[in-house]
Amino acid sequence: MLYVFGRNVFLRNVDMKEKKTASLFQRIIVNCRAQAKDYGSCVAGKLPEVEHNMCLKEFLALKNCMQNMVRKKT
Amino acid sequence: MLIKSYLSLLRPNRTAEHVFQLLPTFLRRCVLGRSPYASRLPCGLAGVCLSGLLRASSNWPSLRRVSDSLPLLENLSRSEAELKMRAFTIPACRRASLFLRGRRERGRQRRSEISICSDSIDGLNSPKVKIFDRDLKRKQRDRAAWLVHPGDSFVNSVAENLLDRLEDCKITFPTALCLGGSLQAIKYLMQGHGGIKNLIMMDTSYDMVKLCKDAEKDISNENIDTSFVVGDEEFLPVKESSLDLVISCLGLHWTNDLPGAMIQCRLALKPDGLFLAAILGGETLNPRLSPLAQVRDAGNLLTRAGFTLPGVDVDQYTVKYENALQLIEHLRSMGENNALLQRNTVLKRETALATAAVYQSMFGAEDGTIPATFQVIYMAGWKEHPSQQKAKRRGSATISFQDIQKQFDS
Repeated sequence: MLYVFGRNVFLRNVDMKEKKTASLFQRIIVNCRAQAKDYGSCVAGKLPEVEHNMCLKEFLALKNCMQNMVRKKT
Repeated sequence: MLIKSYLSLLRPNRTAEHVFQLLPTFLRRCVLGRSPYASRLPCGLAGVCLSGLLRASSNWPSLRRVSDSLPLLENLSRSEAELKMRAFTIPACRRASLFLRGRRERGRQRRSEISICSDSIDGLNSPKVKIFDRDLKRKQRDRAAWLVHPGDSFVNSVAENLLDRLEDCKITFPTALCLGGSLQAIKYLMQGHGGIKNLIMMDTSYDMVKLCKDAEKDISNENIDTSFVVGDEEFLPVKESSLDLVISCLGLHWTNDLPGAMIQCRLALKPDGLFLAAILGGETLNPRLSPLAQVRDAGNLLTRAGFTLPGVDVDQYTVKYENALQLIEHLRSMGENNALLQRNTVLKRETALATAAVYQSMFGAEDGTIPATFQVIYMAGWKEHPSQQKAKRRGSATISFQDIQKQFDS
């Protein structure tokens, strides 16, 4: 009986964590669309010669926007 | 006192539990890897001594000996039992050796893995390479069971297609086994196809099987006797020649040894039994990391497993998603996440979202949706039976092609 209760609580916590991450990702996708588009077109244009830190400026802009989203929630 | 107790270990018929209880608590915790000193003490030495003592006793399963007490593999011929037993004990002994190492080493060992066991179910000396992490796959399928997705149209259409093939057969299949994959879809769409009376549902993940079992109360499946088994597709717990039909809907492409699994299915079938499988093919989500069977290999797989009258056909489904993360969600709900042993276990949030952005710009359509292709290969094979038509003997032709051509030309 106790084992079943523990498992349900565990599943509920997993569920809540999923919903939180999912909604966070949705918010990021909706709000950072412009930066994401810039970064995406930068990388897609430079394919297939891919290097590390190739589109660093656009990536940092996107990362900034993401962190703002995360900070706004908390 | 301790010496006397250790000497008593050398007596035969001493089980692993007895030995474990004779150890002082400190060593017991080291063996289990729970003590913080586990990695620092000569745990390896303790492990070696322990395993040596245990192998001296007769109850430890050994690689060389066929165990007598395997309740599930009844009535097998001796050679087949031996092959199955060897396939069964290798993971047990690997598990034991992992158990005796420290916790840190266990993590390190798992990462640098392609382990090769030179053993195979079909008797050829082809090395069995472990590509997929089956343990992780089981956990992923557990989580997929929690993310219930009943209206999944892709999985439903694949299952319907597969079950349609049963309608093409004149004979009925009273006993059927359904191997993991999309168990729920098969259950919902069964609807009396093929005259199935006894259905066995099998999956590696307990939660998935439990989900099917709970859903059974909602569906009124008259005349179908369903039983639920938790088992591995690579080690089928089924008696030889006991099934009329084996169905697997999108379940077999995560097995490490697909030919071996198919051979075990063939052994489990009665003569004139049918094997139907739908697996994801090589063109799925191209370009792709995970090795998937190509269409040209599917026929070879069926003949290698020993099926007669092989039939293969391919279907390509294109599913549209709003963004890459939704694609990942869908794959997760089907249990199709990456389970390769060689994979990066770390994914940063920004990497995931940056990848989604790149995916969008590379593959996005004008209306912003992302298409993903799933190539499904349907395989069908029959177990031998004298009533099946065979290829004619060479040299027994009575008419030449030239005569036929003359007849058509005139």
